[in-house]
Amino acid sequence: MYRSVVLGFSAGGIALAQQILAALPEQYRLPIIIVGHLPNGQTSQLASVLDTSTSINVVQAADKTLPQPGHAYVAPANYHLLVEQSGQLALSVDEPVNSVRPSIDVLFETAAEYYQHDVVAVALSGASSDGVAGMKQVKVLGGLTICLRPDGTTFNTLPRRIVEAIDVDYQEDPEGIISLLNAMAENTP
Amino acid sequence: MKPPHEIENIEVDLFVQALRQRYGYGFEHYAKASLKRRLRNLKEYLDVPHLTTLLPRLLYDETLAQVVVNTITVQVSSFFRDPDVWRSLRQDILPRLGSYPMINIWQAGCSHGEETYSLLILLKELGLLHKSHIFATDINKESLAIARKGRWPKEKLIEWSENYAASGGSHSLSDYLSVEAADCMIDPELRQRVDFMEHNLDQDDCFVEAQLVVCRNVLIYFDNTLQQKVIRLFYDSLQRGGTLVLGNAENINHESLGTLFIPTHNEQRIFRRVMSEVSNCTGDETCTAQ
Repeated sequence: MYRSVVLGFSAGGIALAQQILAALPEQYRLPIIIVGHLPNGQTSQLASVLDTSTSINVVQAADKTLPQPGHAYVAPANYHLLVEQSGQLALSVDEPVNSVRPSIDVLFETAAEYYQHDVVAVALSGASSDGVAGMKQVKVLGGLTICLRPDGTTFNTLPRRIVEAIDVDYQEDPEGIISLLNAMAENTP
Repeated sequence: MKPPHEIENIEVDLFVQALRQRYGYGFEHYAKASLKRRLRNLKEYLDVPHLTTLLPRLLYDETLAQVVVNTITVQVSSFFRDPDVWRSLRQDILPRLGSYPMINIWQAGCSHGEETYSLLILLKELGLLHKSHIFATDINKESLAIARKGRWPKEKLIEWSENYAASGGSHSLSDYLSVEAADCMIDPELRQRVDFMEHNLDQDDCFVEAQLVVCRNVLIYFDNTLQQKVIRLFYDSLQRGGTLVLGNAENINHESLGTLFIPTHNEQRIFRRVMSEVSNCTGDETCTAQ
């Protein structure tokens, strides 16, 4: 049974993330952990930007938080967001990965290692490859991999490189991703 | 068959155990996910197939052990990182220390010294430098050597100058940092008011009575046990009413510690040490640093 959703996006992804989060119920049963990049490289306002568009409680991720249903956790500006071996969220100011901090790869890789096949990883749009290696690790460890259809976004470097590198479980438009996320949560006891 | 990342977890544990039993380092209290990523970098840096390839050498070769410790404890910092924090220090926190005959500041986890010298610049601009002393500590000997020199690659100078301006600085950061070839160097006057010293937050005790403790982005690397121990150490190292500055994503939220500090600047993660751990303060427990 799935225990968590990890969501990553960069360029062009905010509107998509808002659309997807808005369509999930307030008591969505899987905690959602998010790394997103704002166009100017800042992520400081991301939690509040996303929070206004959904009934899910979107907060900035804090050190040692245990993810809860009905909540989404967003990486703070300039911190990597990781899932610890205890299942708690962790932060670091280690060097940027793929020239970015937070890095989608860091979140996806650590989430894959903790949740293994119990995680749903979703990649939206982006103009770089950050997220590809992480998505690969999710796939290798048996998690569910969902990618935005590359032809559905102008900023398609990320989804394009993902589908080139990995045999993802689903390539969907935003509506399809919403249906999948709702279906995955219903399977949670 | 165990997946590779689980085997890697075993390797990390063996490494941590070796560093504990052979050298006394307490990395078992470090946050595992970050530690593992750093050890992975070390493996690549030393170009070995597995971490455990290094184990025999780690046990017998102290030079290698030092490389390992330096690699897994190194931090990157910036001048005036998170300008809002430095604005609060400039406007609220440091001016209140002016009434003390001597100002003692402990910066724990000073890394390459960028934030240490940021503090010294503020003290100079506030006219407090002559009576201030900063004890800047780190576990990492290499970082301390760089901090002592006060010399860094000049690449980040523009970003640092922007931070300085955003924090309310009215001069120019280049007044304090002179460019020399590929590097920039700190004004030697500032170096006279600081001691860079080795200190291990996991092992070493309280050594100073300070009015201000600055420890930013260090606690996120520690587990709950070590976080609590270190916050207690900061409490013991601060005068009553003294100020503690943590990193922007750090907080004091352990139940057992909730009574030791009161937040004064929520966003900037600035806290005041309570007068006394017991809530019934008596009249003699006054402090001018409120």
